Amino acid sequence: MIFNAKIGGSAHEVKIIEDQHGYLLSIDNKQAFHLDVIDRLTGGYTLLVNGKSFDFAVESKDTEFAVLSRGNLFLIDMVNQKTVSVSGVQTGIEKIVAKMPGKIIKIFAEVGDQVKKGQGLVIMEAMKMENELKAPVSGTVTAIHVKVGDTVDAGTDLVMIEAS
Amino acid sequence: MAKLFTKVLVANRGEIAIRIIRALQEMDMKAVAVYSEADRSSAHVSLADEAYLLGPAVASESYLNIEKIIQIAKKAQVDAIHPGYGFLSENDEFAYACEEAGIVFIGPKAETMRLMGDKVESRKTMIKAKVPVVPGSKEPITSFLHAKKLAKEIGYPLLVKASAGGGGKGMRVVETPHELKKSIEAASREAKSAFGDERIYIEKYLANPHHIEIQILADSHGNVVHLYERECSIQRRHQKVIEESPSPFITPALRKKMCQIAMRAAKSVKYLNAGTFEFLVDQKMNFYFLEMNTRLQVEHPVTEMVTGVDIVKEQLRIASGFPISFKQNEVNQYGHAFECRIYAEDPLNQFLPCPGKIISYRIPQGPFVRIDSYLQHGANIPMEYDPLIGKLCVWGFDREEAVQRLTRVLKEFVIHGIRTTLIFHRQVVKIPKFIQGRYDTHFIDKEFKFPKVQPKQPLKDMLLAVAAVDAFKKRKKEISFVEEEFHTSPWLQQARSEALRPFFRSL
Repeated sequence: MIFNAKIGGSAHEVKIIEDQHGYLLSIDNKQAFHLDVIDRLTGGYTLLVNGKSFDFAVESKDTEFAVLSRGNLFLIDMVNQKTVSVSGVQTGIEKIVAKMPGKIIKIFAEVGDQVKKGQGLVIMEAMKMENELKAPVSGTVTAIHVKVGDTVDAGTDLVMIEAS
Repeated sequence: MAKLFTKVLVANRGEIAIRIIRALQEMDMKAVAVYSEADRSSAHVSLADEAYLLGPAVASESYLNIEKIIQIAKKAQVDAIHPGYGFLSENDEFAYACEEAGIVFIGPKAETMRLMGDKVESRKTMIKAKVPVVPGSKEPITSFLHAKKLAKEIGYPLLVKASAGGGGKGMRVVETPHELKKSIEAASREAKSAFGDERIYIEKYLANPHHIEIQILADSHGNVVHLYERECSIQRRHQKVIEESPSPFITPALRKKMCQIAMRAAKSVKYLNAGTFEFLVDQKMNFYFLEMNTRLQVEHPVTEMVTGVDIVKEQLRIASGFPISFKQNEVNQYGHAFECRIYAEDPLNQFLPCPGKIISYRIPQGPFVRIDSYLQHGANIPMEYDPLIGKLCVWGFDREEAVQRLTRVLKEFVIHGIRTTLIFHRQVVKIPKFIQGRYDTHFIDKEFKFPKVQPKQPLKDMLLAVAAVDAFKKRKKEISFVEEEFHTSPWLQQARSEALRPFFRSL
């Protein structure tokens, strides 16, 4: 698999394959190295590299990986190149995406409506908490993919807006 | 003669249902669980001796459905109902319904619950019992002029609050006189839509207070004891996140005074069972009654760890008609305890709810560690209920040791599958003011932020490598999940058992 990775503001390409002994990795097409890694199966990994011991706890959500290393937290964004949408360039179309799994409580717009940037368009609820989703740009609502009462996963496209 | 219950229904879910079931089983009582459609595979169902379906996931049709719960309680022939916390635990109608059905409600009398549940009424009652209250209006605000006059007496800043309120709803801080009118109108509107009760009142706003509460127990023989205090000042959005006992702030003299006053207050309302008096304590060590919680609290384990008293078992004994099993002078506050609330919320995404499936987890181990949770491999954390999935508690000989243990234990605790507040807690315990015990209710707002550390080589490459390994495995697991479901399809199972039949016959 090949991942587009982002860490601390810099972008990298990470290639990984599984072999008989574990994993073979190459970062930014540099020389591939074999990784001595033991998975503790609970989100924890121990790595040995030239005698140096690394202990990581990884908590992931979608493409976002939070790695804890001896109490320090690092955020890494890992996108599988295969799952990157091929549709690619969608000029002028912005979308509102569910930030959490939950239920659609209210929708304040209809297809064709003119909306302003920052205007609240959808209210979602999960675990007794409401989350208001706002228009990312001013423009025209071109599609609404959900209706009140629907349950959606995090990352679901909810409303499409064509920027004006 | 009092006799212990033989069968008790637990009208709750999640970690607290399990906590109560454990006490019941240790006391040789049968535990009856109830569950919603979202909770069929939840741990409280499998741990109980009996379990009955309440209805759909939405709380109003399941865990808040009084009629259905009473109906199940009658059918299962239980002696009593334990409401836990949240849901129906402070609902006096439910307590009345239990009474009418001839089932003991494990808690105070319905009248006491109603009295203490109303902010205006409970305040009046406490003033009568000579319990200090935050300076403010004794009656709900009737007009803007009334409010203006009171505001002048109390002084700014002040707080506008809903009488029926809770959880920060219908609550507003007013800094200057010209904001007063707008704030009152807004709070009243919010209160009406949230609680169906537009009554509001105003009180003095205390800057940088501590939130300290006293646990009490009262039995039907007239005995009242206290189990010391819990410091609950570490809060986020008015929700407690870390609690400890003893409080690092108050002095022994103040502790004694607060405990005495809480006991006096409990006696004044003829309180029964376990209850908690919440106080605000200002920087000059003045303390004011905030509210009473007429139920078991989420954070009761910290008290259990420093006193050795099992509060749930005492609740069951008291409700059965027994006296409290110990005397005041037999209980001490020994050592130091902490509790971290583990929520299914994503600290890296504005603490938004994060329900979902638990793929795996590792519970921390070692001396003086206690976990109350409903974690299970493959457990679903439903989106319909409170995000609390568990509580991590530690005990130490003193506060310093307890902080060190908490820090160590948090590093060991791993939950895989959903984001939890564990990452938040790991950062909080590193903040110097927390380690020193110098914090108030604004601590999280003022002191907390995720540190931004730039990784150096070779750490950076290793971080990328480990994230790639984890992402690789996650992707493979997703693929195998689909395969697994396919393999266990009922058609396949049927086909397999039919294929095996001739084999069994020949045995």
